Amino acid sequence: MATFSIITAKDANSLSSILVFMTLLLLFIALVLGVFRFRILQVKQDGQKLQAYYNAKSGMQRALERLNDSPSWKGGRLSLFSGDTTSVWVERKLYGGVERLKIHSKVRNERVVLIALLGTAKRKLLDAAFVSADIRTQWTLAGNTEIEGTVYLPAGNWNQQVLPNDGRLPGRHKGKVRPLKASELLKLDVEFLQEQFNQNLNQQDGSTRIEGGTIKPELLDQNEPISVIGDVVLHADSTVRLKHPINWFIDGSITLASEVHFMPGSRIFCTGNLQVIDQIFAQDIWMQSGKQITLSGGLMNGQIWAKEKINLKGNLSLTYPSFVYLTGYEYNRKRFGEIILGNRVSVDGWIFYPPNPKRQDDVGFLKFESGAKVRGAVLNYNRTEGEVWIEGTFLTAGFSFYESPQYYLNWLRDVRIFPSARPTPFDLPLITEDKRPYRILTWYQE
Amino acid sequence: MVSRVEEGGFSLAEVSIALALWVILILGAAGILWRVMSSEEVQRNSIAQNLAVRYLSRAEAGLVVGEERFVEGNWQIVRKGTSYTRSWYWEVKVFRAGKKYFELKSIQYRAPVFEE
Repeated sequence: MATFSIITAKDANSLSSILVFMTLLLLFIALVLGVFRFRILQVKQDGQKLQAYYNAKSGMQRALERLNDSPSWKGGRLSLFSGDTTSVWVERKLYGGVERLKIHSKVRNERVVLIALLGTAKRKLLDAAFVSADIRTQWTLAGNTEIEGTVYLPAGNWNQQVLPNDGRLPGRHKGKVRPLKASELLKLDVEFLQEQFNQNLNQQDGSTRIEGGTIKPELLDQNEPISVIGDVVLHADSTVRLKHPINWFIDGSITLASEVHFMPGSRIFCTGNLQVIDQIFAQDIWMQSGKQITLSGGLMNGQIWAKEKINLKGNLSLTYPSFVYLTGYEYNRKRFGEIILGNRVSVDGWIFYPPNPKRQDDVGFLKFESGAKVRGAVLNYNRTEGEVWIEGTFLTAGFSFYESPQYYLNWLRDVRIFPSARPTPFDLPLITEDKRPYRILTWYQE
Repeated sequence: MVSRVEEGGFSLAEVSIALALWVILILGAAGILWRVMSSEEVQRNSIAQNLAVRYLSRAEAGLVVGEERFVEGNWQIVRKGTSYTRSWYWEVKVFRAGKKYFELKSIQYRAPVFEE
């Protein structure tokens, strides 16, 4: 038989307690379920991110293929795999001595952006240890020189002489000596770089314009380009870690007086001097000065371009792929320019000091202080001096040192060149007439 | 208030308690089941992703071509590498008990050599 109940005050209390208890319990259960649902979603998102990453990597390869097929390709959508609709979006931008590709990949809501820097394939000449950039010069080994690998000499052999008053061995070369023909030298496209250099100096398109002076670096930490009028000193009391890839255009000189960590893809162009007093840390940075660049230490890779002088000193390590480029300048019908590598400096990449376009009297030079090392290639179409230490290729138009009572020209003294110590793959920035085949120099995730 | 309870009947409070216990029991059981299932599912997805990356990386590094099948514990991995004139293509699929858990694809361009 059916029963009927009439709620008493006691029952009502019990009921409300139960309802409260049930609500709390349901909330707890919902929370637990929510946490697990979140974990499942997270793992799925990880999977999508992973697929987006591999798609971006594949997109980078497809873009490289596309560029080698049609160098005028401006970027755009690229299909990846036959049989499905997976695609990536590629932005292409000429970026100094490299092509810079930005590859956007998306799987559901997960996005990955990769940056790839493209150069050109290494030319055969750069398999050599030493190349004379002047096809008339006679070369002599001297002092503690050690060269391992093929050398290209105009005469097809070393000039056999011993340095006067020098009791040491007359240098050592292990490898082939080949005669050098003018046609074998690299077909350079210096104008290509020079045009960009000039454009950068005139670039004052910053949406934000500020007056120079002493400024805290954080104030210039913006995504948007910034133009600075006049000389500027960036100083902070402690280490500065910039949060954006900055674009600074300075009509004047800039001095970085504090330790600064840059975001990848940062650019600093100035018409005057660019001086870094403290250490800097950067990846894929592009610095250009209309006069001189001085770096005093740190760890970075990127492009260092200047017109008059590049002074690398302190405990500075430029990692691969770094591109040091000096244009040189004209004064009183002579051609000047200096690159100085301090004794604790290492450059992994290329040092490029191109030939004099007007064939004026050259007084420019590249100097290695004792202990400075380049891993990659030195392409110096001017004079070199100092204790050259290269794990790679050394191309120079001349070499000089002074030993009382006279200057010696083109006696390779205390030079160490070991191309086999250079890691592979090793390719080139876009310094040659033929930019193809394009090669990936490096890439990273933005 | 007045209360009248007939013999053998249940009060509203008792009915509520019984109902609540049932709901708790069912939700609790479902929760535990979901927890166990989801925890395993999370782990499986994670393992499948790791396996796919590992087998793909090996193929990319060694430019491995051809179809290969691997077994790791309860997992089956199918890797297919194809060499085309201008590129390599790989795909890795990771299965468990016939169910596909994860898949990765990759291309590597066969860069031409510079001819001087």
